[in-house]
Amino acid sequence: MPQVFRVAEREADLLTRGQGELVRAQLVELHETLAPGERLTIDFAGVSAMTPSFADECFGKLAERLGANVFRSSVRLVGADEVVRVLVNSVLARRLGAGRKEPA
Amino acid sequence: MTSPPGGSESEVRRQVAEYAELGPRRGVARLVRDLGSNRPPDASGHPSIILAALATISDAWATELRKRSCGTHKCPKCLQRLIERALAEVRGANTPGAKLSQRNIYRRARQPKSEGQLVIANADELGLFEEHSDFIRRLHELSQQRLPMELEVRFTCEHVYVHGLALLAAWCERNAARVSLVAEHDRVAQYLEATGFRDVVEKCQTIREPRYDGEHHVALTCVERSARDAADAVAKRIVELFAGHIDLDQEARDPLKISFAELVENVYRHAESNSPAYVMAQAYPATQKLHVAIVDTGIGVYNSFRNSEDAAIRARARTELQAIRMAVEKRVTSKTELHSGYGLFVVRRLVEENCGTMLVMSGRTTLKFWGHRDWRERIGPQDRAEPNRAWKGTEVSLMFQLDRPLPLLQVYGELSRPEEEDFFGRP
Repeated sequence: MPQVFRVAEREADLLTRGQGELVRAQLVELHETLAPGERLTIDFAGVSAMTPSFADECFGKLAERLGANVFRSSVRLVGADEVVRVLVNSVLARRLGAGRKEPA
Repeated sequence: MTSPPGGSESEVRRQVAEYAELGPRRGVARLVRDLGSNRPPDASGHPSIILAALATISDAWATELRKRSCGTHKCPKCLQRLIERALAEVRGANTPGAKLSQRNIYRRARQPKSEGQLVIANADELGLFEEHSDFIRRLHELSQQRLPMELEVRFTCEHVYVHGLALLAAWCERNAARVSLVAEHDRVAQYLEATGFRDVVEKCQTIREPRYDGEHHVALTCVERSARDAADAVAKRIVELFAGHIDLDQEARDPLKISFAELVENVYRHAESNSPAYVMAQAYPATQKLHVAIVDTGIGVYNSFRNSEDAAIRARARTELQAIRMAVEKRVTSKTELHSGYGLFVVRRLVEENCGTMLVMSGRTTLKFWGHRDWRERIGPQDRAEPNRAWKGTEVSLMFQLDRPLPLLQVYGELSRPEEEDFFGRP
């Protein structure tokens, strides 16, 4: 059964790094429970406002922690509007960009 | 008034004064030696209160105390715990009754205080105008007198702006033992009351949750690094307060929330100060303008970059002007591993596209950004640097035009490079 995490379930305004840390911790916990081959779906539906600080703290650092290959193969992003999609793509590209080391 | 646990106020004050006389480095070294040898400075004085008091004297003291709690100085565990507890007390996290703010320390101290007067005749000094530098210069001149100071602020002007008031509140928090406000015009007197300015500056009260007073302004709100949850909500709350009272649609709300949140976030992450920052906001429905100011008395933009672990960043930030320009550039941050360097860039670009104004003042430099558009053609973003006298900390002031768009999608689009991957919609 696919794991789905709804980002806006508790709060539609995602503004601070503090909030980002909390959501990232939940995502890490959920990711650790995935069975081999299973994927974690992050659903952005309902997000109202998201700052670059939140996006970087939550998704950028999550991707960096997992590494580009694991992130691409085990995390699926869905349901974002255009503004959120552009922002999240940007922070992920920065954190997973060329020259970044894969975690050991 | 609550006495510190384990000792009378006068004893604590005496002990604090003894260490303080030695200066931060020698004072902390002596304190570490006394505490580390299990010989508290005085049996009647509670060590954590002494540490807390010392940490509030200045950022230099807090920095020295933090150095000693990093674990690399072979300090005994008990000392480390004490220092952590002391810093928590300074931040007001654990002991609300015994909180020793910088102003309270000054007020209790027996040292003689100087007297000063600040007359504000020209309201433009408080606004986003060239005269703002004159106001900073005058505050700097006051700082040259013996501190702390008993200050009379006399407003002879007919109106005021939030930018200068937030700046004045932060200055008083750091430098003044007692402040009395005199306003010659009723309108200004009412404004100082209604915005909480008098409560905060004259009566030393703290307003942690933004409140709206019906006249399109949000009261002078304190942003403390300790009270994270309250401060996290400040940006959102300010926008909600305005949204309920002025014509603000959803398309404007989100970019405003994002801008304010990034400014508040900067205070946490870069100011490195125990003194609070102040936020104040005012809308002008008739002219469709929204003014916001956030002022801290932290280490400033230049020092933040000069303290960077990234040698290339340190090398680029050779002057205060270069440091401020870097702060609003895309993907430039003093904390390269921890942060993305998007926050202030996004704020600046939103302001420019909105034809608003953004002022960043830190140290001896003020840099103002604005976008300009006339009826015939768009004239691109512009900026201008102005020298001013030293301000220990950072002010960021914004003016938005509420009748013009805030193109968030366009600005977020500028964060990406065309060749970058789309992480959404992969099967």
